[in-house]
This record gives sequence, C-alpha cells and structure tokens, in this order.
Amino acid sequence: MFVLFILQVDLTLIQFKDFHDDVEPAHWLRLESYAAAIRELQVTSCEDPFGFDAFVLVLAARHFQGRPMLPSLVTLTLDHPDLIPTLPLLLSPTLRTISFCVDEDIFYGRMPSPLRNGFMKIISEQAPSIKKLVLPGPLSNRKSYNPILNLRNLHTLIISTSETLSGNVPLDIIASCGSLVELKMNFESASDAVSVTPPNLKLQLPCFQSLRSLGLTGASGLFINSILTMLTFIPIESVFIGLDCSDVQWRTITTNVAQWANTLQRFEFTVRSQLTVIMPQYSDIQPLLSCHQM
Amino acid sequence: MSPHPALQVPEILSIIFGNFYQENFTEEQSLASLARSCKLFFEPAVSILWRRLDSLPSLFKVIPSFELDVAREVYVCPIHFTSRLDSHSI
Repeated sequence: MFVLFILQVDLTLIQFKDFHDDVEPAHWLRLESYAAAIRELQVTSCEDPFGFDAFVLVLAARHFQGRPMLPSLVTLTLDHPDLIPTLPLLLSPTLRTISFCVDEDIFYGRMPSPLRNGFMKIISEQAPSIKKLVLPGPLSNRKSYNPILNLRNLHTLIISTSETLSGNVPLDIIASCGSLVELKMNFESASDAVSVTPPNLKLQLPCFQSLRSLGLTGASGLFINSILTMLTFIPIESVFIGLDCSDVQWRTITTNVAQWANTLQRFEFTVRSQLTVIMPQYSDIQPLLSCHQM
Repeated sequence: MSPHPALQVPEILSIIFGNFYQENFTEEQSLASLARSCKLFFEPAVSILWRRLDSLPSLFKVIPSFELDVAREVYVCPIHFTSRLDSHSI
C-alpha cells in the first residue's frame, strides 16, 4: 500500500522488472537507531538542495512494512512538496503536531489520489494523538473530514481556504470534534469580481463543545459576520480577526463579537488595506465596552 | 583513567549535553565531537544531535549504499533489475 502511495512515476518500471538492492540489514538497523532519536522533523524547501530517488522511499517502505520510520516523532512540519508522498512513512503514534505549509495547489497536486482521498483517515489511524493540525487547504470532499472525529486529542485546527471553497470545509463535521479548543481559518480573499454567498449553516447542539479561541483572517466582513453569527452559543474567550479590505463594517463586527461579552477575554482585530493599517472610530468599538472579562 | 562517577550516569549526561540544543539552533559540531569522544557519551550525545532534523535526505545518508547522483541532485540506491521473464526462466 505504501509503495502505491509513494511511487507513481516509476510504476511501469516495477511492473515489468524485479529488482534487488545492496542495502544490508545492518544498514537499516543503523538508520533505525538514528531515526529513533528524531523528535522534530521540519523540512522546508530551502534547507537541503538534494532530494532522493523514489526507489529510496520504496525500499524504506518495504523495510519498515507499516512500522513508523520515525517512532519518536513529536512535531512534523512539511514545507517541501516533494516529500508529500512520504507522509505515510513519517506518521507516528507519538506525533502531536502536524503542519503542512505547502501551497494548496502544489500540496494536493503532488499528493497521490489514494492518499488525498484518505488523507485524514491516514492521519487518524497512524497519528491518532495529534493535538495540532495545520492543513494547507480543504480536503477533496466532505466525507474525507469524518475521520477527524477520531482525533480525540485535537486541540488546534488551522485550515487555509478561500471564500469560494469555504463550502468544502464542513464546519458541522468539525463542530462535532469535542476536543477542539482553537479553530483558525485563513481565507484567501475572493477577487472583487467574484460574488460569494456567505455560509448559512445552522449548527446544532452539541457542537464545538470545547471551542474557546477563534481566528478568521482574509475573508470579507460579510463572510466573517456570517461565521460569527453561526457561533453565537459558544462561550468564546479569544477572537482574532484579520481583514484585508478598505470598506470595513467595524460596528457590525464588534457588535457580533460583543455577543460573547460574558466570556471574551481577548480580541484582536486588524484591518489593512494595501499594507496600510486602518483605525476604527471610537463609536465603532463601543459595543466592546460590555466585555467585562477582557 | 575512569571518568568521574557522575559522568557515567546517562541522565546526567543528557542534561549536560542538552545545553547544546537550543530552540532554534543546535551546536552540532560540539555534540558530534562528544559522541565521538567515548562510548559513554555516544548515546546521550547522538540522541540530542538527532533530536531535530531539517532534512530527510540527511537520514538516508547514513545508509552507505545510497549514493548521491550529482547530475540529478538526488540520493539514489543502486538497484539491479532483472527482467521478470529472465528470473522465472531457470
């Protein structure tokens, strides 16, 4: 299974030929002894100019046969598209943080389709104890999100999406993730020419049972307001909103945030327009005066 | 000459060697020197030296059979192919 994930390119070669290699068992034991010490793997595109042939991964997959190659890994940060097919090899039950910082198109473009469709399933099976997950974009379909409910320790979820694709992020499924404390959604702003209907989802209780921190960046004010309204009944303690536009409905947003007056302890609201920070009027922030916990 | 008894306790060595591991920087040369200095130091020094990895090829480099293909800038494993017909034709 691993081999199928890893190897797309040279598959025809494997079908017609048998192969054997010169790697001695002692060499694999040597690799395993070093790999067992690795707690943090942070691979960025500029760190190492050299990659490795797909056969190296095939051999590694064949050697480990489903065992984690890095059995002590706690933090995995992937910022190198070439390494995406290695994901099944790198996942380990000890993982607590998985971050994918690759551009969404590259990320899913390089991901073999069996891995893409079962992305969350693989994570939930091979790294069930993760606390923080950073996704570069929405998954391929709604069903792909269901395994997130198996991540019983998931504390922080950060998803990059866009207003047009936001419908692909099923908040109602994510809302059922009982352990989720922090949710951040980074939107890629839709162009002015594109009119996007804000989400109009009715969340049903119980949902977002543990959610206390909400971050929304990049979306339009209308979009942000619709999400804030959706979460009225959640006792949010921390809100971070970042907008990149000139026409801001300050008062509407602060009024919506003030719905959490009894619980809100921290509120950050940054508005920029072409790198210029826009400041609100006093009247715009008046609704926040009711937030006595801040 | 045997080392001080305190330096024979792996936990103590890990604490001392841990000072070479910072959040954003690891003194790799120092840890590598410690790992090579004696058998007692090897395990604690190597476990800290390899705690954080910035490049997966660095791990594969420990296998001598994997060679660097300079032209393609990738590590490759010399593989010997046998035609399936050949292998079954004995």
